[in-house]
Amino acid sequence: MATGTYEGDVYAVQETAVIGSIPNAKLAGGNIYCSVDRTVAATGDGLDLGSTHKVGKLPKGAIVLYSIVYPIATATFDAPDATTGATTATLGISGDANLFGAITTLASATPQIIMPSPDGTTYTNRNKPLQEAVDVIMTTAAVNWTTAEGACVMIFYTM
Amino acid sequence: MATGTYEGDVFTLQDTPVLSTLPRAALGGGVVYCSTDRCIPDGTGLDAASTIHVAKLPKGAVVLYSLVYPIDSATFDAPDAATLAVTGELGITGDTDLFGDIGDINASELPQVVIPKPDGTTYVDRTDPLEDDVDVFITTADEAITTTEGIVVQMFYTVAGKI
Repeated sequence: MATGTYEGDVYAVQETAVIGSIPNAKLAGGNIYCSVDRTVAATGDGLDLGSTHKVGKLPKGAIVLYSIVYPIATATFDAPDATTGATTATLGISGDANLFGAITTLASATPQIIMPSPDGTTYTNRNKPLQEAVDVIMTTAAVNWTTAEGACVMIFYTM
Repeated sequence: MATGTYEGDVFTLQDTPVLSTLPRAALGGGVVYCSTDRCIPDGTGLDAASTIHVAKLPKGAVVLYSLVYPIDSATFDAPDAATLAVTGELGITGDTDLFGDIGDINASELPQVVIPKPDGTTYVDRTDPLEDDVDVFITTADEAITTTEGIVVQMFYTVAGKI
């Protein structure tokens, strides 16, 4: 074995700057934007696992850096508040339901930092910009929601 | 029981945009700003219930989250666990924990993600913009701060009406 000297994908682009690398220049210091949204489930609208919550619209070209997700309840005015059941979820788009990552149990009030996890079909690594404007969907799993409980989703991205 | 198909408050506004929703457009992709500050409350009073002013936020700001961690002047603001189990609240006059609770800064030097927790009086959910310019302060609790020790607060926010 031996030591190696590596360069990150973005660093390498910066080291040999050419016209063709400009579109991704924002990865090395672009503005950060945030889409923040909240959603609360209700008995009348359906609570079962497999429910979908649309929690963001991202523009073409967005590169999601990370998301912060935590549970809320209307009774506590969106303060972090653990859900009754151990509901989990995925955060993604139509066609790749966990493109932006997996959300573990929301039965803990601690905010979760969610990282993108492309599946290699359309997006092969985390630096790939969105190819079109998308709706962001949180799909619940594992355990049904409880009424009046939900989640806050903050998606941080560059362009 | 059945599955549901929900839309977040902001998503709904984006899906049916009208003029009156523009002031909150920043929530759907506004620029993120950061207010960062440090303080080492040395000498003039260190007891629990001390206040440490750590930011001024503009009217319209929507705080997304804050990062908070302990420091010591001897280690040049590197994260450094406090000697005593000081806790705190981050907020404003009238709602001293509006921006969240700070856990024991003695237990770990790890940065804490502190999330807003409106109490329903002025601000009823986390997407409500600030109604005035405000001074942000920490109110310490549980233990006295140790001299030469302090805290860093980085507040990340967007501003309603700016995109």
